[in-house]
Amino acid sequence: MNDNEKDFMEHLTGLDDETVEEIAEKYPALDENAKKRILKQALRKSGFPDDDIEVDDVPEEDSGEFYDPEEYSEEDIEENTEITETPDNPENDGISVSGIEPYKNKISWHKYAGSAVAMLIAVIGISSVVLLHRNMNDDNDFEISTPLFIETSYEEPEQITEIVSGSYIDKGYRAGGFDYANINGYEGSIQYGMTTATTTAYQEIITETVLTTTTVTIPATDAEVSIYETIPPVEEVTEEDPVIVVTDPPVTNPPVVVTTTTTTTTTTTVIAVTTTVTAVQDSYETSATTTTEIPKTFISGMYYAEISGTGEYMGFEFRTDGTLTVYSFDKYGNIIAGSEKIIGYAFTENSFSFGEIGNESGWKTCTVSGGTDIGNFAVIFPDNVYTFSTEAPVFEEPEVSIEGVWRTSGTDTEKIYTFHESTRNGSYIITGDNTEITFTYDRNGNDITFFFDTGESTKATVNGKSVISVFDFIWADGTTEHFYSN
Amino acid sequence: MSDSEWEQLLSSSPRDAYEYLIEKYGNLVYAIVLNKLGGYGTHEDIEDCISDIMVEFIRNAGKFSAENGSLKSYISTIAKYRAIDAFRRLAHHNNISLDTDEENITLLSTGNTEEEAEKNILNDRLWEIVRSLGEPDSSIIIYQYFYNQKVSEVARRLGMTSGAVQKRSIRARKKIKAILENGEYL
Repeated sequence: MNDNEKDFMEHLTGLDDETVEEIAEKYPALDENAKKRILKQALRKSGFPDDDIEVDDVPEEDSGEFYDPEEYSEEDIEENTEITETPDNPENDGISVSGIEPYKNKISWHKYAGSAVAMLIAVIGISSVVLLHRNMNDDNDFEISTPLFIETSYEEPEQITEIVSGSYIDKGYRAGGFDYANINGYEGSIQYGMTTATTTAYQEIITETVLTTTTVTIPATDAEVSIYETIPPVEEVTEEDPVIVVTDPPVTNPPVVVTTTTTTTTTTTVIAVTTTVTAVQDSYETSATTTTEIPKTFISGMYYAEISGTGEYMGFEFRTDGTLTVYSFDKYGNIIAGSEKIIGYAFTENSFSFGEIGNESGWKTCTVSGGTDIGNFAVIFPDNVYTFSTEAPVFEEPEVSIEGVWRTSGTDTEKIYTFHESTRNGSYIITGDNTEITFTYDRNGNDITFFFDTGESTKATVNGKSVISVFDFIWADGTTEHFYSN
Repeated sequence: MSDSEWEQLLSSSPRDAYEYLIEKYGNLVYAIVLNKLGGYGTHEDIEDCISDIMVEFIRNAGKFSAENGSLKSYISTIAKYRAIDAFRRLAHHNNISLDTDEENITLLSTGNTEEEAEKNILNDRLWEIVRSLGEPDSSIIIYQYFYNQKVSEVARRLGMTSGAVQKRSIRARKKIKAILENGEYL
């Protein structure tokens, strides 16, 4: 980190209370051991007895570090940091171990790539340079033969390349079939169990920044893990070979085939839910038997039944003494003489029987609707069905009977007419001179046509009632002559 | 545990009360002390300061009342003043001149009020930028530059390799610098 960055990063202190509180909450920094130490101190300062002060220490977690953190000074890491992308170098295709090429003098290690001899030369050369550096720099205390600790991690190696001044050892790890290690924060890799191994390292040349990459192919049987050593910053431009150190050939690991079978079992658990509904009866019906006395059916008064096609009616006149009178009416509503007959009757709930008194077993039974209000009922006779009703029938108006002697009340002369309905002839006498004139007549309803011996005829209309004492003749000429009963 | 329950615990078991206090407020006190010390002092100095704060708090617990304020605010106040005391001791030891404002004690780097105000604004901006970096970059910067932890410590805490932490730290700082220079937060 350069001075400017250091300056502005100092502004992460002296923050306001709210921010400090937020940091303490989101980014807690005290580990368990620190808490225990603070507790111990506090208890001791408070005068607690030693037995109470004893606190079990939390064992340090194995961080997997293979270097001394104290040697990993911040200044070594950060000063004069530059970030660049790793340049593609077509000469380095196929590659393997990279080293550090001296200033502006890139060694064409690729010429030896693929060749075991070239690889061996490169390894020897690199090792020599490392040894040379160690001898030339008193502050270089790394151990060449120290095997690299490999930390297992699944973090994907990043592709970014940074050129920094100074070199140092960083931790390595194994992931995805590769062994990774870091130099100056950049990772090199050796493919685990393969025929070639690859690692890359970079170093800055202080006087001029040049990214260099050299490669050597190392058979997998000879290199499982590479070693990275602390390399001091290059103070001057040198023409020396790249500094890359490879460990003593470790035991070759056989290729490991890991077969992962993922079986996904989806289990659907159906929970049967039984819902019990309890009905709560909140009301009760009150059961009660009500006995209603149905009044005995009875009929009273006159009932009429038309005798079909004749205009005549039959009448039953009921009386409460159990007798009824049977009538027959002509079409004018007149009781036909001799038709009256008194018989007996009896009711059940829905029927009644009637017949000759004293011969009840022969009584005829007919069904009625029951109840007290019987509007009508039907009686089945051998010849017909008669429907009796309380509704009075409309009878025909009868012809005026002109049978007998009638006297006119003419102003000039008085005439006495005698009519014989059965023979339809008659005569009239003009009072005063006793002249009697005979005639015949034809009657059609109330229209009467008179025929005289003289061959004359005239018409008149009877306008009167069936039982009359006076009726009018309305002659054809429109004159009206009143007839009075003689 | 409520504040009033802690008061009862202090009466019945002072040791447990200490333990609870450190467990509950240790990180807060630690952050307050670091914020005031600004990178001065060793880990031992800081832990010594924190234990002093805890002892003072317990000794003055009789003055604390859960009805009048929270444990958190009470212990925060004590922590700030004891951190300032610690800073004074360290400054005296290292011949660093101090501002006389106890509440906002700072190094007399400029002596200029206007510049101090700008510095405070920059503090706020920087914190906002760090917070906006996203994880794990925010954590890396906080642990590195607020808590002054080494890369290896940060890597262990975050379960990353030191190399990855270092690379992310470099990129994050570049980003912060670029943002500040481009005035995106101005």
